Amino acid sequence: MSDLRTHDVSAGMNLQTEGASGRFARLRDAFHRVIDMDLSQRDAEIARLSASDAAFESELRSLVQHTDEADLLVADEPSLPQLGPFRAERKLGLGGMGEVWLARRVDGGFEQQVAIKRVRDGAWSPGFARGFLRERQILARLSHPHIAHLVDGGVGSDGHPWLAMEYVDGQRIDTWCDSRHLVAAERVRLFLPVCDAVAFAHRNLVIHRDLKPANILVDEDGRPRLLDFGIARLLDVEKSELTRTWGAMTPAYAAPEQREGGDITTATDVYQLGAVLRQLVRSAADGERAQQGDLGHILDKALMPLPADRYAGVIVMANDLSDWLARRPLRSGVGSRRERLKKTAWQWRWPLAMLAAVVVAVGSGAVLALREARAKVREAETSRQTTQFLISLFQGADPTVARGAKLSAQDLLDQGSARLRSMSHLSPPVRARMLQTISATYTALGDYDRALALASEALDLRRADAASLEMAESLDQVGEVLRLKADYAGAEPLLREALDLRSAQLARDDPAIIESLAHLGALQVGLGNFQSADERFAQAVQSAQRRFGENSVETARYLDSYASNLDDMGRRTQALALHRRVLAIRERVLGMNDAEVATTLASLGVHLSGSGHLEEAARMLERALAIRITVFGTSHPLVAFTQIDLAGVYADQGRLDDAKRLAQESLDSCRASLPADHPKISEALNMLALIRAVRRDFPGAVTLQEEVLQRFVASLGEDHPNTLTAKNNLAYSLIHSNRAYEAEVHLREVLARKRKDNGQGAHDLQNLATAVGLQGRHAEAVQLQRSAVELQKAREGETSAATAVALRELAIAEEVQGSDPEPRYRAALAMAETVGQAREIPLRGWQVPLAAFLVGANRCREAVPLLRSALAGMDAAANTADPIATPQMLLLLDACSAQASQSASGMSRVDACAALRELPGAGVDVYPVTRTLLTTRCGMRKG
Amino acid sequence: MSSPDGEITRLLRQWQEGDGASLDALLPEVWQELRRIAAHELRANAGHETLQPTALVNDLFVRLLGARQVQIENRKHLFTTAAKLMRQVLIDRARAQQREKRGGGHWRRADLVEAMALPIDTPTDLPALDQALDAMAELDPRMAQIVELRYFVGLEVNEVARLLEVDERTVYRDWALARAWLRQRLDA
Repeated sequence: MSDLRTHDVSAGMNLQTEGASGRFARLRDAFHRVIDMDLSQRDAEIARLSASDAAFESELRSLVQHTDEADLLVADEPSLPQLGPFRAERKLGLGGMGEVWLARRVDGGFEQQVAIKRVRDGAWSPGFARGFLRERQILARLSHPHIAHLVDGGVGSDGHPWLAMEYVDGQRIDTWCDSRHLVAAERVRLFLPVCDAVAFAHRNLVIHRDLKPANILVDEDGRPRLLDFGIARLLDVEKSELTRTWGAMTPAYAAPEQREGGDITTATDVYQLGAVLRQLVRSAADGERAQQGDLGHILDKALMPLPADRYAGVIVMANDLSDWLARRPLRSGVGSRRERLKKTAWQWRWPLAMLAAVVVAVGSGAVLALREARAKVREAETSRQTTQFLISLFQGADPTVARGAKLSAQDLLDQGSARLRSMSHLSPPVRARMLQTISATYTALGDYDRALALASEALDLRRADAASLEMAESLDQVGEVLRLKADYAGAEPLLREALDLRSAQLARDDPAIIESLAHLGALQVGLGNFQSADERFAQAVQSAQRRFGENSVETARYLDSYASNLDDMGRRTQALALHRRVLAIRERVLGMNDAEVATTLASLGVHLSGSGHLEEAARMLERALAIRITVFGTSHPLVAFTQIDLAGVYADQGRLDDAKRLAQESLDSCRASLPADHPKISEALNMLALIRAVRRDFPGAVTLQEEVLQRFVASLGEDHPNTLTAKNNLAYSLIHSNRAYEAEVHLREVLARKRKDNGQGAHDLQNLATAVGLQGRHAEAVQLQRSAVELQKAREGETSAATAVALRELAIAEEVQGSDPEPRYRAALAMAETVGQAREIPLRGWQVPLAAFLVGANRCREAVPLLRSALAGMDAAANTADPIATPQMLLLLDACSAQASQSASGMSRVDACAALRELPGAGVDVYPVTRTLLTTRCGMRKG
Repeated sequence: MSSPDGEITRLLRQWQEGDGASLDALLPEVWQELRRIAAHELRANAGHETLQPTALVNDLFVRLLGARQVQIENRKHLFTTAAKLMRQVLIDRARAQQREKRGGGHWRRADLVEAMALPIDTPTDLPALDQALDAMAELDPRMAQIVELRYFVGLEVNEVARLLEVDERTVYRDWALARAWLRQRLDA
């Protein structure tokens, strides 16, 4: 309140001499002051500022009352808001739900202009925001030339959702038609692609619900574009029960059921299309005449008050409009004397009923237009797409809301398949299609057993029509589910047969063929045949590039698999670059929170952790995990898989508690959802074993690792890379349990079984060198460490963290062998320093072994500064991850008679000796000189 | 994408050749360009007079103002000129429309206002707004200027603040006050 005096306008003002502008200036000052305050305080402040001037007070009060809070609200936020990767450039206007901004992408890379809608009113709960994000993903896939598609969306820092739509620079369809004086037929022709777009959306299970001229813009090429598709639904995810007739609806074009709070279905869009078209036709010069013929019948049919009386689908209406344009009798028979109408309705009867069971229950009144029922089964491509739409629905939709009742997607499917069984009148092709669809959805939900049962049933039905594309689809589906269940032997012939059938009947780059190739590639990965997988994936990528374009999501999907496999083959740098490209494509096309974005993030995270970039790896995997939990729910296997990977990174970072928690969660959910012998369960167990090893519980680790090894051998065979990794891990724990000879046997087998293309030899070689060295065969150990250095140079680069580690290990082996290790130690340290400039790596791993050597050579003066600097870098996390480091350094300092009082640990030599004595396997991990000190100064026996 | 400049040139030529309708297409283009300039200026380094209005914009102003020559002195002058100009265009149209309807009813937001994305409320009695702004200018000229720049050029508050070299928060408060004052006066 220190500035009260300068602002106080109430005191001592001579009202008599004050002019109009002076009085206004006083009002303005008071207004500025009052308007900055909370609503609750304004009243008192107005009274205070007005003192006894009643006229002034009433004027001020009236101004404050006439103030639109929205004008002020803007004052509190950054003037040009940044939302996600977009910066708002200017306000385009106010829409039904908030502001609309023209915005531009600012995260570099490429140019993109979007229209951003910011939802302003109301309080949005976290539940709403979650549903909103999920729904958004379905809409992001709605890619059609006549739909301005959703580019991105999110929740801003103010908690309000925002949506980025493709920006259409165009005119409202009615204005466009009127300004060009189009006749009725021209208007109908312009309207047809609009119908097409709506029909497309319906096949994608999205209903517009707010079709009106303002939402249909014609761009400069004369192309109509639909705006705001699914937006009404998007904003309705939580409030649906309360506000079925939400404010966003435009009364002039609302269907009766919208006004009355009834169910919103595709028929609602039919009505709204009719309402828009009627308005367009009416304002045409020849509109009146046109409406007297069949066009009038079409409009009447679309605008029937009862949804069931309207056109059964937008396509039917569009067909009639085409017929009218071509002056043919209307296909639907609408308006004709022969009442073919009833027949049409009858033909549409069952799919609508079926859909009511399977899909409408998802809650938004979305209806899947299954045209197969009418037209029998169409070619496989259409069917495949239908399936994918349904899958995407279940992957993306909030499965919990249905007319107030909580239903999981699983419940929906179970109901759907039960209903399917009770429908005895279905023809085999239709039944097979439904089985296939539901099976694919179970697959997406990770319920492989149910998926397999249904897919097999579909396959049996389809075998009747041998060699058909439908049969190929079922073969592919059964094969893929078997692959997911890790039954590779069962999967392979089916997947091959599917590919052969498809190749014989379809064009080279047909999407179904690409899909088959990718499935076979994934199968080869499962079998550990990375070279064959590489060929399949490369073929798939090339076909996808030709068919869908270099930077399409489809291409990105196959590139992703291709890159992961490259990584498995040890071509890490190339894999990393490709994965980053995939991520860029997906984030651009699908938005930041899409399931496929999560897939790429997960792969990138695994690669990055493999090359020691732990921080970035953790960030990517954490993001992937968050997206997957949002999209799939916590119990989905994909969530469990990400948990394992993230646990691995945490373990490497020394965050053992976090790592253990995640690995345990992952194990529990894998056990709940996957067959008992599934390799992923083994992977989770392997991770838990690894954590035991890091905690130096070597006997515990050995027990678990033996179990893991047996599981892998049983499910994947002796030669599988996972089996070999498990063997290597077991060997590491054996080495630390004084069982070097057993370790050597395992490691030799690993090396013998490993082929060139499945890499990862360095760890095996280093472990073997240790095992061999512990048995006193030092020259052999040096040879092995040399090979490891060469391998790391080739794989990770001449100068890399991994190569620096290998060099250090070689130096240690050389020291033990008796040759001069100093140049090698210094070279290793120099390399670590070089790498460390680019990213954080603790240098003590290279400083301490060099210092230990120097202590042994009586060069304490050089050793002590190195040790002190390394000791200063130790913190709690470092001590957890590496409990040997501190006592080892203290012991070395003690040997130099140097005080370590700088260290906060306050650990004496006795304590250091005790610590090293109690740490299992410490004798293996300390440096050669330390090992000697343990005997001479700590009284420990050798060995 | 077609260059906006090319499009403006074409429209300007048509308009100068006597096609009155092309003015309606021309104005939104030019105004969009003006706002682009304003947005750009906002992000550019402070204190520099980087603005060179294009010959096209200049040409348009000359014709609209019926002057032989318009000398735009600086950035502020460009935008205030544009605001005055648009105010005149809109009010002339509204008056003509009222005359046609023999004085009946309120002026409805014309397509032009919508096409230009001007933040003028619907419905607004434009001639009354014109008078109210004159009255406001007598009480507080800068406040009237803020309204002009917002309403008739479509500038954002921060752009206005930058242009008038006034603190942003002050412009926000003045804007809110001006709107309240206008609302009160026009509703009465």
